[in-house]
Amino acid sequence: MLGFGFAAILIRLLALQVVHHQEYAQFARDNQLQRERLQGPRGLIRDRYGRVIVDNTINFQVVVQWRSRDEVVETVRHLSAFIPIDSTRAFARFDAWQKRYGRVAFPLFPDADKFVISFVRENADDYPYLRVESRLRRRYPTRGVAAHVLGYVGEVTPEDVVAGHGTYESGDFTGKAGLEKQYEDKLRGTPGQRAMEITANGTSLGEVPELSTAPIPGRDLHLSLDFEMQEFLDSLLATHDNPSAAVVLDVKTGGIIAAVSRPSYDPNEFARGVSTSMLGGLLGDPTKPMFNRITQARYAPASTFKIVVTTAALQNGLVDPGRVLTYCDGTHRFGNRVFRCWKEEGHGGMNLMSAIINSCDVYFYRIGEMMDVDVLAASASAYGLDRKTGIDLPIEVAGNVPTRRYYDKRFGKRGWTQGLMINNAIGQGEYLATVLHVVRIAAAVANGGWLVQPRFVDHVDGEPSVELPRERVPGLEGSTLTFIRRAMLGVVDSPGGTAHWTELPWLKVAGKTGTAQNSRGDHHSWYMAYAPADDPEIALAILVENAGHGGDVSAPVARDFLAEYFRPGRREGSVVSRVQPASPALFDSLSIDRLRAAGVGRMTP
Amino acid sequence: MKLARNFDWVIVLCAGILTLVGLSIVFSVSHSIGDAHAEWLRGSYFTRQLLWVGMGLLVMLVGFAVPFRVFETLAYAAYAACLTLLVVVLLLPAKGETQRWFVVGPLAIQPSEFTKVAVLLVWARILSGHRADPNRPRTLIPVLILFLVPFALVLKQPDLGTAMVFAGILLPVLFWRGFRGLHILFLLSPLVSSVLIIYGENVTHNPWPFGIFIVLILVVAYLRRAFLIESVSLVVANVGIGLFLPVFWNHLKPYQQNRVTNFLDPDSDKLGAGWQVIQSKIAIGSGGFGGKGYLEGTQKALEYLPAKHTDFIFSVLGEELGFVGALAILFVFSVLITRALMAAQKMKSEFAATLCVGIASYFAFQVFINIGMTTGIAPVAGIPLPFISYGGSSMLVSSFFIGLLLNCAARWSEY
Repeated sequence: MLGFGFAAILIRLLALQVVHHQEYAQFARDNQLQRERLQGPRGLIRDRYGRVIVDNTINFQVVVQWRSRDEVVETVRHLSAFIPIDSTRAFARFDAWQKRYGRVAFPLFPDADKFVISFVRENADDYPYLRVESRLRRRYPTRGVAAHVLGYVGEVTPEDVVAGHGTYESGDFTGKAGLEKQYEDKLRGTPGQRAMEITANGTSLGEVPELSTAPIPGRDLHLSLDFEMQEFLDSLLATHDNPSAAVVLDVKTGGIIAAVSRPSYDPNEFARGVSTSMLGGLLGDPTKPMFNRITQARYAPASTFKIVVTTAALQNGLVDPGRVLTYCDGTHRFGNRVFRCWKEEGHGGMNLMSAIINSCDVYFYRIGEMMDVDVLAASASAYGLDRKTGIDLPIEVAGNVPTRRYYDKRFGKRGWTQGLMINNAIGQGEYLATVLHVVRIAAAVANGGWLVQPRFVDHVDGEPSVELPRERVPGLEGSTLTFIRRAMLGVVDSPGGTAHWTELPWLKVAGKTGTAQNSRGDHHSWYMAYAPADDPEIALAILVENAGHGGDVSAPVARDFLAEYFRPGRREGSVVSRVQPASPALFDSLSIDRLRAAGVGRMTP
Repeated sequence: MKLARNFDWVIVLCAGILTLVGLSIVFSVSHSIGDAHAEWLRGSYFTRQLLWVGMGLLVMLVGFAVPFRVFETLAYAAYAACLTLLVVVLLLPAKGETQRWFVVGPLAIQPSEFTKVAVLLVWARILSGHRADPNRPRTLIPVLILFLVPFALVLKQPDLGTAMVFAGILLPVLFWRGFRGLHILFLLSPLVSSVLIIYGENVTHNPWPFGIFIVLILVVAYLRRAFLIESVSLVVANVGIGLFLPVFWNHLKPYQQNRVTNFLDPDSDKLGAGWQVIQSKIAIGSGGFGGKGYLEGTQKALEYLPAKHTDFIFSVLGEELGFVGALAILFVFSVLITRALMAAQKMKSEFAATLCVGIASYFAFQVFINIGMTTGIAPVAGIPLPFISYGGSSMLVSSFFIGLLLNCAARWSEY
């Protein structure tokens, strides 16, 4: 065994050092292997009609391969005679670069234009330290629209490199937020390398195929998003200066058709490499543009929550829906406290149906007095308020559902009374929900009692469409379901309804307004709805911060959106537009050969 | 006095030559580059290696002076200590991609190296027990468990190469203690099957070698006059692996799969190991018959050779000292290994004899895998070349083994 092994080595050494010595010696003396890392293009992101909403573009940069600072200074001095260049700033940038990255080629022109590139190429002999590099850069042609959903890419951190187990090299880009981060594994391209044999005087002897591999492009994401409608919803909300969030989804599949969080930011800045000042500006902005209000902002669900309370009340036989339970005179007394209805003059005699249509708070205060804490908590949990929705984004918060245990822990066993339930019954107490939670309530009513799992990605290129599990909402069936549907339709189509003025003559919409009281300013305006009411296709939830009554601000946004969404012929038009790819030049640029011809990649010895 | 009479000067001479060659190559590696960074490297690598040689000398003296019976007594304690270190190193935050080292002051210590000593001591102790018979489960099962625990821990680091060294020491030791050839087939064939299946499915896309191997097992079993039940269970075990391994394989993460295929087939990893191997082959091949001369190597200077002071140090040696130099090194290793095996035959103590065989296997296995790797005929495993590669843990372990060899040789007549 031992003899055999050593004999094998002996024969191998003989072959390498004696028989083939000439070839290897030649290679070692004259030639070098140079390798070039070829970036694997990142997969594109497309909307439901195949329109490209995120793609890649080639970015050229001119770098200085320096060994001492003098070389950089000299190069900049020479260049400044021909190219306008702020040398003081360039040196400052260089010093910062050197401090951070050490002896790595310095990108003097990180975003070089044609003039600079052709100048450097033509005068290559005069500038031995300059080199033109090209690489793919992520491009978000949509700018701020859907920025919170799409996310952005950025350069990998040292921690990413370690956690990637060899997937990344420093300088690579990786998804840092949103879908870019969530689907990093699918989107990421696999890098290849081209090994070149170079003679001592610099001429290339060609590629060494045994040491080269082609890069593999990442896979495209196909979203359920309808980008036209996304832009439209964004423009509707843009008419308000206030921060806002809105989600529209397919009630059957949970596929999200549009999702807006305003204010927004331009993800292209991140793909370009953020400057500290810009990031500071974004983070310091009091309206918090980086904050994803779709999945991370929790609000009191306000009157939209009355649908949940109604479900609990009917399921437990707490009220007779036909009977007038209270007479609303605008106030409700509990002990020595007075709770007010939003309508100061009062609603008069109210039964459950009219209480929902008019959004009468006093009626629901009465229910709050009668309903057990855990009964309501069970119903809210059935609607998914106590947990994350499981949406395919990296960050999401759960809502809040206060139970008996929650209150006992917070106030002590005897430290609280049924009075807390009075506020809870109008969605105003400890209950909290995101826009995503609320849209699921509307969707569950619309689709016959199913809690869907919302998602952005319909399928990954080459994989089948995602089928997500949906849960039954207990109690939301039979007469309860019919009742709630009729009530929500009444909100829009009956004369006293809180959203009646937004009724469309040709489309039946069922909705529920909400006005979230807010200790830090004006009320937030809520609206949730689904349409068409008799055969629901989509549900939506809209929140505009500090904008007042839901019926005044959010409901008309919903009306305009639905009017456009269901406009006869619109969807057929979108299907046709699928035929033309959004930016043909970019598709071509993704072919490997073109990439190579364009010299994409970085040289390393 | 008796100790002096039986002192094996040949072994000491071999180890000494190898150490000196190692030191000079480490010096040569750091000699090439002319800037300040290299100055620092030279200072640090060469002087540190000197320090390790000094400590190695001390460890060797301990290994020699303390009677081997004491080590036999201490075997389990040493084993437990090493296992603890292996667990602790896994719990510490990872350094880079692997968790192999402790950093103590300026020095990095690799517990998996010391585990090589500990496993050998416990195996030798169990197998030399007066009623020990490796063909019986009563002896074999404890040995296998003592093998599998550190094997799994080192695999977790992940360090496939070092984990393989444990197996490389165990099999010859078992064989020496009279393990039946057929049983070795039992232990070895699942491993070979696994390799053939993974290789066949992911590298060559050719399932035939596995099929041929199954037939081969049957033929060997027939020729070795195996019982029917033995042949059947052999085949069932191997076919079972053939059925279940692909399922298990699909559960591994892609980077874990890559790690295995890159290990088995460096060429598939053109950006990493494959690149290293081709550069190493160019360096060695360009050395030619007589070499380029000490300190005259060019490939090392160009930073083409990765890990050139540790695992790939033989590339520099091959380049500078040529075929003659490489041959000389191989010769010295062969003498060392042969002396160890000769010593084993002379021992009266079964424990000492087993130790000698284990030590010989350690050197043989490491030398074969390391040089095989640099010349492109063995997988790229992070295994150092004893005495030559830069690295403290390896130096201490090799020196201690030499001490033990001298110890056994000098006390050959003792029980």
